[in-house]
Amino acid sequence: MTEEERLALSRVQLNLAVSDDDVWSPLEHHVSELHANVAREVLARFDVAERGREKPIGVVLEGEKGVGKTHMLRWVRQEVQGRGGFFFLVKFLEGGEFWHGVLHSVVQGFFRGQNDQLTPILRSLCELAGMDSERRQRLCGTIPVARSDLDAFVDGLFEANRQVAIECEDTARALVLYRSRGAAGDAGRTFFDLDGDLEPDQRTAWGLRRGARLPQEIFRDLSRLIALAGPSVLAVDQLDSLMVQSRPADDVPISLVNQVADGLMEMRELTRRTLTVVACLPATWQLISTRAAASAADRFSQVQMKGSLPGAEIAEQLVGMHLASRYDEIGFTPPYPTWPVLPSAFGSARHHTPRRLLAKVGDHVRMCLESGQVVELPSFDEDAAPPVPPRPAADGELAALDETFEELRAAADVTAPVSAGTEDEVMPRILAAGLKAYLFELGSRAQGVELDPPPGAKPALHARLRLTLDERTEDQVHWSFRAIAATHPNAVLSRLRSARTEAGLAGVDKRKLWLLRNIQMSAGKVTTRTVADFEEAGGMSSTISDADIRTFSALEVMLDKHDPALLPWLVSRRPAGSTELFRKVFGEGPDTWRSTGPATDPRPADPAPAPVADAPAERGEAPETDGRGDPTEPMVPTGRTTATNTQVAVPLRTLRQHSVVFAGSGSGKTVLLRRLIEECALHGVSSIVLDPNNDLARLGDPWPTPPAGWNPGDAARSEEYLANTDVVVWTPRRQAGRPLVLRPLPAFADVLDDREELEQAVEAAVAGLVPRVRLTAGKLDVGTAVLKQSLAYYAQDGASDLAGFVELLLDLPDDVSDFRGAAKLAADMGERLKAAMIVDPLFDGEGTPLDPGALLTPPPGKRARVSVISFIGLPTDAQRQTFVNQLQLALFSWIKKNPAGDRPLGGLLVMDEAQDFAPSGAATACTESTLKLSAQARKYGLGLMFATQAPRGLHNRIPGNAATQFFGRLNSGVQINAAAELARRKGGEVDDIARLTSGLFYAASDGMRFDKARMPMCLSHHPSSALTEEEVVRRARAGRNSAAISQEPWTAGGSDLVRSLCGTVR
Amino acid sequence: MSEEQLTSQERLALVGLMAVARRVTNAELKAEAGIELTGERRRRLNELKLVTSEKQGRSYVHELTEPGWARCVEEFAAPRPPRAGAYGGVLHAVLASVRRSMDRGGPQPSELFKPDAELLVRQAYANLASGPAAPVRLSALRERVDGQLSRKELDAELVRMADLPDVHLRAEMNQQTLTDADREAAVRLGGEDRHNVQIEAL
Repeated sequence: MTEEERLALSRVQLNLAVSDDDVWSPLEHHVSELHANVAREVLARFDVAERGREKPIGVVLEGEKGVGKTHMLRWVRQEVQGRGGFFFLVKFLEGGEFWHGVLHSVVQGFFRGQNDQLTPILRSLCELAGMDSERRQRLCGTIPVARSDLDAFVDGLFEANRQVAIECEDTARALVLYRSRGAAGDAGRTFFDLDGDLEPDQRTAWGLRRGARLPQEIFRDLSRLIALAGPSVLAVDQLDSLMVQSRPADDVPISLVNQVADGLMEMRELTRRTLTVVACLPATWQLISTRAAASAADRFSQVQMKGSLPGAEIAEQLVGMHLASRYDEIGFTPPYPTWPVLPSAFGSARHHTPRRLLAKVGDHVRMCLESGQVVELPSFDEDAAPPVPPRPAADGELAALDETFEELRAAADVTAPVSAGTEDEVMPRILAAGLKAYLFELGSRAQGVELDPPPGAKPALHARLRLTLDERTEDQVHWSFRAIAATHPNAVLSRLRSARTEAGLAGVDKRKLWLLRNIQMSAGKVTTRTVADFEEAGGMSSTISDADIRTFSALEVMLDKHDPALLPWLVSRRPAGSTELFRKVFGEGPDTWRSTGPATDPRPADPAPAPVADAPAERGEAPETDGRGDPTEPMVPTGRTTATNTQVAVPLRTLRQHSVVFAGSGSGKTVLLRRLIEECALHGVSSIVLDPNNDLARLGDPWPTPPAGWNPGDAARSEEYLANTDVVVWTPRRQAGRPLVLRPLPAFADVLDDREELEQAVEAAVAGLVPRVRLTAGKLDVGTAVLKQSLAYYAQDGASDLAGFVELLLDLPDDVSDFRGAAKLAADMGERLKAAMIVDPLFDGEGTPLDPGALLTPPPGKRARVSVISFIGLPTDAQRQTFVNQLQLALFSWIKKNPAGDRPLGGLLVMDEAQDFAPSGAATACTESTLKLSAQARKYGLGLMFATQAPRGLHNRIPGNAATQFFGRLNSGVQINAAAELARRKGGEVDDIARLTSGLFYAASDGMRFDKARMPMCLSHHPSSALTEEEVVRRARAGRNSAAISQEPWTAGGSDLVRSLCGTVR
Repeated sequence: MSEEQLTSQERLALVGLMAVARRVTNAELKAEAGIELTGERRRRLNELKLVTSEKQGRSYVHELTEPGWARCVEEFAAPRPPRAGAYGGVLHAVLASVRRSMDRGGPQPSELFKPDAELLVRQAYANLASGPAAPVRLSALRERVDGQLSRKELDAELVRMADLPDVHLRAEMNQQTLTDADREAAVRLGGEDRHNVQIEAL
């Protein structure tokens, strides 16, 4: 880094410590393409204000923090002033100080930074009042003003505009006084700071007639007077910090919302030739427009400010202009305008707010300066430029600066800063130097801290430091400083009030105001009370020592000189941080500041990614957790990976935690399901397989010839599977095949000799029948009792035929029940059961009773049974859902009584087209039972395997409960998106799901990462076409006589089953 | 499943639904593809589970199902009906060409036929916003778009639309009001998470 470069970068750096978006500082760089809509709208409305015939509609600039709202206000100020108008920045204070705050802001706007708006106003008024040039010299020139000048001025105004002159006379006099020096100036200041409450002798001296007035009256006067001189803009830009900062919009007290809305309305009413411009966050305006009682929003039109830079060129232009204004000051010509930010970096600048972009430039420049190397910033992306460590300064350099520092301290003037006549000029300079040096001492710890730019003449405050706690809400902590050397009590009070108002001190912890004074306060009553008030509101007082003044003054000179070792020297010596004053004010430094506010960022750490994503890439072959390291652990192969052609597999035990297949037409989903069922059967696990598409009933068919797609060894496995697996096809409601029916009454004959068991069996059966007889609430108790008495009566002979029981109910013998009206009740119930038998052939029809034990138990000599349940007899979705509900309830009862225990997997329920049974939309008859099984079956070792071609249509708790997931080809964009989202939650990317060919699946399981694997062909015959109904029936009949269906006797043990079989799901 | 022959009108309806690639009302389908799905034609396609038609208010909202998409692809190769005319002829030629490319590893229909993303975003916004330019959470917008665009597609569209003069992606300044879902749904732009969208023209 050359000396010249270092100097140039220091310029940039030093200026960045000072708040750059002050409305009052000169507009150095403005990119007109940015926020052109704001410029248009504001100027159009300003024209209306200028013509003065009607009150213009206000403008609301809505935009996020950092989009340049303040910058645009600054632009508006410059533009308006260029057109002979005036600009005021209005501060809203909460509560009783509201209007005083507004008045204070306008008065503060007379002298701000380099601006003097008061002299032009007075000049216009003088001209209007016909003042000759000598009077003008007194009223708004350099000659001290006299009482007679004021009288002449008011007389002249009276001639020009009678009404304004009569109503605003006092204010007009005060306006002239305010601009003056000495006692006259003090009177003017006091008039505005204390709302007209001058002492009687001051009033007499300057011809003011009235005493204290309401601040809004004085404000109105001011506006009328200013309107005679020219149009104005009143800008309001601190609503956000007042309203929504650090609290949710809902928590903003409605009284405050109303106060702001009323304030905006009234302000518009009170002013003349004035345009109101509000700059705020969208949330703030939303609050005002929706919650306030007054329809303030109607009187404003909104302009949305683009949150991001529109393109690379504009970003480049912005940074270039910003840097040029710094480089120009010292005549530095950069290698290219945006140096040290490479032009190519701006491609990545899109969508940054201007502030964020400039902050990144500032951070980068600081890093360059600290490291002593120019590193060109290649990109604005996060972490684009690796940080370079700071360069330590040589001891010699530091020692030289020590010497300079001491010399400067010795030569410093210690009286000017604390003298009444000079404090307003000197104190702001040396305090700013001290604070700036302090920020450099803190280095990166000072991030988010900004120093206010130098105040203008007659400043309310001498310095202010702002720490932004939350950039989005502009939640800030302020430290304000004000030295008051004046001795006259009223002058002190006026200055103190002005400082309080400007600092926003209102008992808020985040607004701190330090009063610097080396002499005693007056012991007068008013002063004592005011000081007590000040302290109660959180204000603090301190003396400022000569030593501190010397330090600050010396730093002012040194900061101006930009010695190359200055930054390291500041960091190493910490001269500002060690001053008595700053130690008192800032304590231990930034680490302790933030605790003054509420937690700044409640955002929790990023939620931990799904465990699968982070888990070590555990392969099926070598699982390490959960005792799966056992090489004898039975595994279910899930194909060969396309990447490395290695076999992957999931432990059989994992299937207890369910699995789900998302795949559409042409994915090979059926083959995948079949192969998984077959592999389980090889491990001796039986399955119940729902077959809505007639393509699973071939699970017992051998291949005529070995198919393509078999892996080596599959021929032998196929033989082994077919030899040891009993495949039974069931056809509920289809007598020609192998029907399954629900048996509501158990075989009472088997338990006749055990009274207790018989009783239990009766009770269980009654519980199952009750939902079918649909008793009204009023008849439930008696009806259930009658049903139980009747069934006990019927069962005593060992009968278990439902039709017989219905006949009994229809004509109930007198001695069965002693309830009144029992016969009528029984007859009604009998009718309903009869109806149920007709409507629902599953209910006590012909066929094998539905018994999960039978479905899952292989006959002797076989390893496993695969029970395929065909739906050819159940054409509608509703019928299928009802059947599945009952099957699931039965299965749940059975598995509870017959848990898998030590076996890795007790059984498998395979549900193809699962979206038809447990859809994401309205619940079906079996949604609840499916979810219940999926949540609880794992405990008992029953695995569920779902398959769907519509992942979006499947109830979200199913994938949520499935440890193993397969993703195959899908055709519909919507389903692909849903599948990709599900995969993402499991920590996988399945972007090419639309391009998967048949048999290719992504598989993921607990402890196993996403792998794309090719599933081998199934072990049983799978031609391309599905079976016809006749072919299904033929297969169902084929095994009807040969397969030994184990007929579990109906015992009390089956009572849960009976209850569940007849139960319905609510 | 595909043994049931489709009429040419049914086939056209399927292709039309695939081309718009989103849930549409009859009016929208008519406006964008010049065809409606009503009466017997709708019932048949519903029964074949190729199209779902959900009643929303007074009109049906149609969507091509997963088998519907698969079936559509098969229909690309269907012979041109007699008297199909020049429009029909060219359409069949285009579809056959797409099919040829598809079978040789070219883009799949779900990659080729995408919904109008900006339209979906604007429709969802209009449904959710209380008025023009009212802030709407991206989490709510995503839910409304409901899988018709992938996360990446919707993100890309939001980023693209952020450059339009009337669209604003903004950070929620009050972090405390954000739920986990809001944070998850945010789009990161310019080094900042944007949680809300505002569109001026509804």
